[in-house]
Amino acid sequence: MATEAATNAAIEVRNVSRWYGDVVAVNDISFSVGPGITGLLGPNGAGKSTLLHMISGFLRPSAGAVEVLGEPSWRNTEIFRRVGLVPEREAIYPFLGARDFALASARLHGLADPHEAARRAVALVELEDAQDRAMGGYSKGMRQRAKIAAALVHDPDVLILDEPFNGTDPRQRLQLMEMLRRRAAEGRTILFSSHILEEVERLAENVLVVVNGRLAASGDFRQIRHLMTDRPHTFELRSSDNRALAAALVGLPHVAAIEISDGRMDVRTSDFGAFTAAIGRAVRDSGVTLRELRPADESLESVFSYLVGS
Amino acid sequence: MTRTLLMLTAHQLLGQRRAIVIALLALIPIVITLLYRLAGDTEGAYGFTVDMVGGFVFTLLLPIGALVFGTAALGSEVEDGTIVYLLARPIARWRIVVAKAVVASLATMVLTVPATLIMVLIALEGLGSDSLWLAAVVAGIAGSIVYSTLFVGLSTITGRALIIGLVYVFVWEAFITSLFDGTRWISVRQYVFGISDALTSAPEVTASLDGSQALIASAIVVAVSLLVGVRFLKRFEIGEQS
Repeated sequence: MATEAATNAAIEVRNVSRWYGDVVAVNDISFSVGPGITGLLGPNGAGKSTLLHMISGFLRPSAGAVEVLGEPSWRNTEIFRRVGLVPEREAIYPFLGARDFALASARLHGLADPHEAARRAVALVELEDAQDRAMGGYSKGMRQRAKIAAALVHDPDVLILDEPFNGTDPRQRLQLMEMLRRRAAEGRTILFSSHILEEVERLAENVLVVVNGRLAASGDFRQIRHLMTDRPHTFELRSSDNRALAAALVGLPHVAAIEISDGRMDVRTSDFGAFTAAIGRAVRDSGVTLRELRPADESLESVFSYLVGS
Repeated sequence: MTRTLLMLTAHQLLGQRRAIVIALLALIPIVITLLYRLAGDTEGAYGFTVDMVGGFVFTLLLPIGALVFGTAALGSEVEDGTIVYLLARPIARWRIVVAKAVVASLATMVLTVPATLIMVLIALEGLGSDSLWLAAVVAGIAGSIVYSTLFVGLSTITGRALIIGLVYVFVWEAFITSLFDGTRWISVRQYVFGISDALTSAPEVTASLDGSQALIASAIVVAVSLLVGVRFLKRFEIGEQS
């Protein structure tokens, strides 16, 4: 669950800001994260990693408070007994294989049976075949999985992953997502960041959308997806007779503006769903041939920008 | 846990080209000494040995080796990002700093002290050493520990530890300490000279600090470097604005 007032949450972020000199990386963000999978979504540079670093205790908030499992996270190494962290940076120990990397992690955690813990963690990410090869020769996706194995070695209650699917191929991504779902079903808390909408859509039950250091939206993913869909859009059209089509469209209540230039027509609408439902009838009624219809502002950044303003 | 920290650090330090470069540098005094002995000159052997140990090993090989290993032990992990795999574990920060200092000290020792011993034994072979070999070895070990720990501590404070270390070795210790008498107290090189002077009766070896002064100063530098290293690592921030 990711809400602004959840109780018994594993992660609590209260009015947190972080700035570097004059640059505000995170601006007065509050949320709670409980058991299940929560996606931290936002474009590159939105402040996702800064947030995750503060949650992990590697960055001191300039203002506000961050608690993990009921304890302040800043400079608190003890939280890592129950927290696993998968950093975004690709850095690994190139001279170790995945098994020795997980084994080193298990030993640093002081686990009673580090060999068994490492074996189990490597199996979870399905890296057994390559576990004895030096990670310096791994692909990006294999490195990601080795990092995840090292973070899972102590079977943490809370798992924090920064862009975990970077460099993974579709099959690896599916396998990792399935593994994370299983852990979430066991009641663990999983928070992962991504700048890719589809990744969050496929995995996260709850979502936190961060744009320009601010929390643009949070809660159930379907509601946020609805917000993203039913927002003002601009469509680019080309038809056999743009003027005739414009005449048919201009009377629609959700069409805000039409602009015709260089054989193309830009239509601004206040309702994505209503416009896409009505365009077919308008084309038929006006007797024109529609040659091209595409949304002109579908970049993720434009979606995020809208959410910030909504 | 400690063994894992030591193993990871040793792999990172000794598995790199830097170890080969320092090993090659350590061969230079041995080669020069062999050439000296092959030339047949034995009358000036004591003076030659003291000049090689004091003028090359203690002033160049030892500080450079310690600088390379000391700044890399923690600094390279901070730079490449692997430090997060230590910091995201329930490990006391002092364990990390001490492990880094121990491995950097051992790496410096392994690559400089045996070469120094071999060089002294070759130079004074058949002449009686006046404990020069013992002085060179013990001072070399002490210097490895003090220099390496100092540079490990420095690397927790700044990302420019290598440059600052070079300035310390080649400007401060080489020039400033020879101009102002009081500055010998903040020169590891003078501690190394003081310890070696205390361990040999050879008149060619002289120092501005006596043995006990050098030992106390060395202990203080090691302790302060470790304390500073732990303090800064506790407050270490991973700062990315992404």
